[in-house]
Amino acid sequence: MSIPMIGKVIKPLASDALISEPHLVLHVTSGSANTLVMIPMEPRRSKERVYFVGYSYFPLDEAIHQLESDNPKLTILDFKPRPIATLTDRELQLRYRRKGQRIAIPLRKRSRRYGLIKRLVEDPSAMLLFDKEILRVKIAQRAKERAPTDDDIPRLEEAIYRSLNQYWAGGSDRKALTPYSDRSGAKGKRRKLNKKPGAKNRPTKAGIEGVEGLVRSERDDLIIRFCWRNYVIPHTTVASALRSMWTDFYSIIVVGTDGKARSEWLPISQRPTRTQFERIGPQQDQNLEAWRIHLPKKGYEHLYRPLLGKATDNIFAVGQRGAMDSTPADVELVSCDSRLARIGLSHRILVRDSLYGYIPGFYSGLERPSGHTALLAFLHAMSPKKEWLEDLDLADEIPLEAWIEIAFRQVHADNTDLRTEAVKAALKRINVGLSFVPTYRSDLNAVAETGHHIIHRLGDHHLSGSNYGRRTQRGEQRAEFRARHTLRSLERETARAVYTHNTIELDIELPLPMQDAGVRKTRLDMTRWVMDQGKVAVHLLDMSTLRAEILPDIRGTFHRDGIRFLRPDTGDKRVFVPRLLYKSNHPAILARMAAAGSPHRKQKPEAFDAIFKYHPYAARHAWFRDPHTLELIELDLSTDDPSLVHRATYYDVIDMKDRAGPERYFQEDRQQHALGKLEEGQERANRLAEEDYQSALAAYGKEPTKSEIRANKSSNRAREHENHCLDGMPIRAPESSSAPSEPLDTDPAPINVEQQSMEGVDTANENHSTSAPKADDSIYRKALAHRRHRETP
Amino acid sequence: MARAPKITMPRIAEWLREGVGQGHGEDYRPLPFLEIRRWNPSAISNQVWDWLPPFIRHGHFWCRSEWYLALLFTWVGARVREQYPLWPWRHPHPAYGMDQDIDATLPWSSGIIQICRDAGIDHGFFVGTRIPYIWSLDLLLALTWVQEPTSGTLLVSVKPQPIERHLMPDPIDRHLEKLEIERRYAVEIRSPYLIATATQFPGPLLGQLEWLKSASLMPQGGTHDAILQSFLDKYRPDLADRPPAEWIDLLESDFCIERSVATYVIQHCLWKQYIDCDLSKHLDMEQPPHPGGMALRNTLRNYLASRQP
Repeated sequence: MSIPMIGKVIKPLASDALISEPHLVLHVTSGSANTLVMIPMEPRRSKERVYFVGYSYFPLDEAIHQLESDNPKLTILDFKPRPIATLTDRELQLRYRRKGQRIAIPLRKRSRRYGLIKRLVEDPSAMLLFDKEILRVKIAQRAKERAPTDDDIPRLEEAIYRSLNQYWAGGSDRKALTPYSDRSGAKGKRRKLNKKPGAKNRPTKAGIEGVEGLVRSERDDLIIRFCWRNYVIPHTTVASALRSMWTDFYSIIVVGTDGKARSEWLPISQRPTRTQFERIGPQQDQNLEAWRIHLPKKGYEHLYRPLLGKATDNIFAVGQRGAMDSTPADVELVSCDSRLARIGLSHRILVRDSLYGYIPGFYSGLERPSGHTALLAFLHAMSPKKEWLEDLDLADEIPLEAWIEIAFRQVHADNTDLRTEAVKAALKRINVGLSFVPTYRSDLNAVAETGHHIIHRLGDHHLSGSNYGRRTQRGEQRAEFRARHTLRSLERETARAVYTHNTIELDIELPLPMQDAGVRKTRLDMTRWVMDQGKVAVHLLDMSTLRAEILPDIRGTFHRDGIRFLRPDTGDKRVFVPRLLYKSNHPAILARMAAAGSPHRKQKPEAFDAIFKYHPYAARHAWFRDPHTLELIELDLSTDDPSLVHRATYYDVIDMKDRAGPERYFQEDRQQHALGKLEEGQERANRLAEEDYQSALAAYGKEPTKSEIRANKSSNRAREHENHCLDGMPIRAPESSSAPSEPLDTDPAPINVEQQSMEGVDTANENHSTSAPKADDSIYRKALAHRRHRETP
Repeated sequence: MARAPKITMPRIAEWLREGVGQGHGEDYRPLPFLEIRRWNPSAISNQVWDWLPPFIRHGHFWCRSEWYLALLFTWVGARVREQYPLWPWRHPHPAYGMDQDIDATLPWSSGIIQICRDAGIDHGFFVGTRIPYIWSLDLLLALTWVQEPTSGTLLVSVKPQPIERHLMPDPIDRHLEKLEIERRYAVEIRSPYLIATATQFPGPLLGQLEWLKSASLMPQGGTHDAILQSFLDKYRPDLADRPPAEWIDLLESDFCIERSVATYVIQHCLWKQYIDCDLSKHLDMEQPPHPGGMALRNTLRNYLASRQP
């Protein structure tokens, strides 16, 4: 129940409230009297006179009603005295006593006023003063006591009234009777000028009136200081700055006889003189010291401004506001397919929660910061990390529970990557807002900036090829010479550093509820605890929707064996992304693959193109949105090199193909060489075989007929198999044998066509010496010896 | 780097045809050159681009103070239009078009050029042109609980005062002139006028509203709405004595829903004040909520409605 208490302030909240301005409660009478005595706290001002009005009566029940309802019209506040009314006598004396004064004027006035009412307010029956009749009588009585003459009584009565009102309105305290000396002129207060100060100019000395010069107003001083700050710059003179000021601020537009407008300076007596310019201009502000004036623009704001708050003020929940910023990683990298090829620095975008600085995701890649990469970082913060950890071979090292998926409802960033229409369009679809720091004030995005420093120190600066975030020092080996890590390994190390950042124990004092709950002092545990409490900015979007809205598009085409993506960087030329093939057994995908692979299709290949969603840094999956059902269908990667997902990003795969271009040129030449050599050997073999055949033919004497060729084919084959083959393969003689052990059989061959191939050959080469090995089978030996002999160049 | 759009009369005419600065609610769109774009970052303020319930339109707020105030007034029940154009020429009352039956009764403004002329203040042009500048108002509120359309339209000027302004005043700064013209404009259209800044309100109130805003929308008649109604029917009398964390547990166990959904429903309760909870005080989820949120909202409503034209 809200009851007005003596000494409390009642303030109106609505125009139809019981009172129209704040009142101080002086007396409360409940019961049948039902009266509330209140006095306005603020004095009235009339013709430079300041005075307080007296108290009034109000119905108590009405006041309580207006205080208590669900729709309150009054509220209760604590009383707060004027600052000067808190000073003791000694403090007043020290502060306001001037030279030659024994007692300071405010103190003297206060004492005199209190002397007038002291007997009234210190009387045990002072409460009766809240009856207006009694008040009037008592004041009259008091005035009569104090007045030297009867003529002074009315003046004294009025003075007592005024003092009493001031006493009550100031909280019924003697100090409340202090005059408003703090509002009188004091150091720093501007003096009113009636004429131009300083020496008279020559015309005035000569008696000419109206040219005394400009009597500066406060605005004139403002203009002069402004022009001194902004116009007196290097390569300009004070005189030209003064003229610029006259043109810009002390001129009027005059239309000439030619109809053209031009600016014309005011008369000299209405413009600041050079002396005034030089004197007032450097006086920027009495509160400003020299170092402050000479700071560069925004230097003060950046370095010395009193900090009234922090970037994390008004953050109460996880995901309420995320901070995002990009930075180059301080590590020189090498290519993943050639460790000798340097590829320079990569870029990193961190996403950090503003509540405790937890990092739920990041982007690490070669692409420059852009809306595209910023969205990828944003998506990474929201995505489950299981597959990602597996791809980085960190699944055993970093527990999956250490990663919290956070979908931020507002992202704070500087005016770079996120300030694009593409990002706004994507974030609008998932109801996420953005806020931007002022220009050149990245220090106001402290959450993200400190995150950079931490990750640089935890990760980058411990890796081979680190440039330590500074220029190479004299005698130090350059970072690119020390480069050893690939983009993928840097991502892995960044993941490790982020994990450490999130789970390292902090040197802080936890809030008491966290201490009670036994929460560890890590960003992860603190964030998770707050989330478990329900203090998380909720979103009800599923991952499918997020992917559909955030992931970039890529054109691909359906094939009989799957879906291949087309490189986005080749224009109209259709070039497939190599080695990556996506498949799904979803009916919609299978139908399209079947249509594309049909031998009877009449459409061009372009007819089977479609837009897909892909994650450039997680090639394991891609997505296709069915235009009919709007379902986002997940596609699985099918590749001949499973290590790709662990070692390479999507861009690396494209890069591999490009990088292999020169090598492929020579590779093709080597292929041609090999094929040429093969064909050359085949040609020679054909020629020799033909020669053998012709020899046999000559021995036979005539061309065998077709029936002779077809006859005995089975028996010939069986004899060949039996005599010259082992397991159906020709018997191979040992190559170490060098000389024949017996002379060659030179018997003429029978004319049987079945035997012509072997025996005929022997006949034709009977005079040839050979190095055939010794073998059990003489026919075989002969044939082999003959062949070797022929193949000898 | 994107550039500022070149202001020409045909372009302004095109904006007018497109209805820029004229719609209400979801259809409203501020002046294109006052939308947060690549080319117009602020040198001194945190710009905010975010949506305000019950609409999904993203608003363009040129400082965080504007954003917080717009959020606060939205929570109270007002409909906010940001960067509302004050056209140089004669134009209808901002409430024009909301209700066709009363459109004819609404006063018209003579235009800012005329108001400036009466006040002896230079109106100004777009830089480098002779096209009159289009002044704008930081926030324009439609107080949905006020019947009278003119007094139910509140003009709000959000004016933060950074320290630099005090220490190094700028004679080119026309804030006072601008405020005076806005005041005269408000008088002319018989609508109240308010100058405010976010620091006038408790930080926890603004921060917690920002947090709860993400749960402010819940489709009527949907699953979540049905769960919420059942939950309130069952537990409403007891909830004031139980901590919000317990509300979530109750929802989760009684309705067999995911914790994220339960959290969403409870946050929606807090935003809507179905359970009285003073959001100007730090909300401890382990303690029963402080009552006073409804009174605070009503107080703010009364305060806004009591502003005199």
